[in-house]
Amino acid sequence: MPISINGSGTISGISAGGLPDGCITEADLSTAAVTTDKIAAQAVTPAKTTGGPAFSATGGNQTLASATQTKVICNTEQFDTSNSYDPSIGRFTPNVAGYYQVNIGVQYTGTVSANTIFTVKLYKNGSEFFEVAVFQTDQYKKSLSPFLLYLNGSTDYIEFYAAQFTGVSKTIGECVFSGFLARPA
Amino acid sequence: MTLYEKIITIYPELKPEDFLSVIRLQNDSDGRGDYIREWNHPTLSQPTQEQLDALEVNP
Repeated sequence: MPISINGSGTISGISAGGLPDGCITEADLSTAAVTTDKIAAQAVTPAKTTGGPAFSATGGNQTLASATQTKVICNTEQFDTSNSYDPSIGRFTPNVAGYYQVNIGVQYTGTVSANTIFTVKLYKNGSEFFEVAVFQTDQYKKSLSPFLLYLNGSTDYIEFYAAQFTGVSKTIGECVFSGFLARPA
Repeated sequence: MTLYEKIITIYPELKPEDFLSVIRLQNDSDGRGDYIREWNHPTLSQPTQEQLDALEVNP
C-alpha cells in the first residue's frame, strides 16, 4: 500500500504490524481514541485495573442514651483501600464518584423486652438519608442494613447513627460499617 | 441523668414513639453530648435550658 501525505499533518497507509513495543504511548492517543468496540473481549484483565474504594470497619463499647440518635464510631479498620474512611469520626469520604454499596449494623449487649424499637440510620453530608426501624423479639438485637447510593467522589460523605428505645442507656457490643464502589459514575 | 431522662421527667406524658417522630434527640459522638435536634411536638413546648439544668442539680 502506498504511503501518502495529505498536507494536513497525517500519514496514512502504514500498517500497525511490526511496531516495536512502547512506540505508541498514552500521549500519542487522542481523547476517546480507544473505544469499547476496539477492546477485544477479556483483553483488559483485573490485574490491569485499580478498582474502586472499599473499606470495612468494626467497633463497639459505645453507650447510647435511650431515644437518642447517636453517631456510631466503628474505630477499627479491617481495610481501607483508598484511605477514604476516617475511623476517628466514623466517616467515609470516597475519592471516586459513583454508586456505592454500603452496609451498617449494630448489636447491643444484654437483653431487652420483646418489641423494643431499635433503629439504624444512614446520614449523607450530615443529613438523614434513610432510616431503618427494627422491632426486636429476641435478645440478640442485631440489625444490618444495606444501601446503594451515589457519592460524588469529592465532598460527599456518609456516617451512620443508631438509636434504641428501651428507656435506659444501652451499650453497643459490636458495630460494622463497610462499603465499596459498585459502579463508577 | 441523660437528656432523654430529663425530658421525660419534665413531660412524663411523652411516649417512646414521640421520639421517633416529633422529637429528635441526637449525639454526634464529638464530645458535645446529647442535644435536641428537632422539637415539633404539637402541644408541648421545648424545655428551656434552665429547666434541663435544674434537673442536673435537683434530679
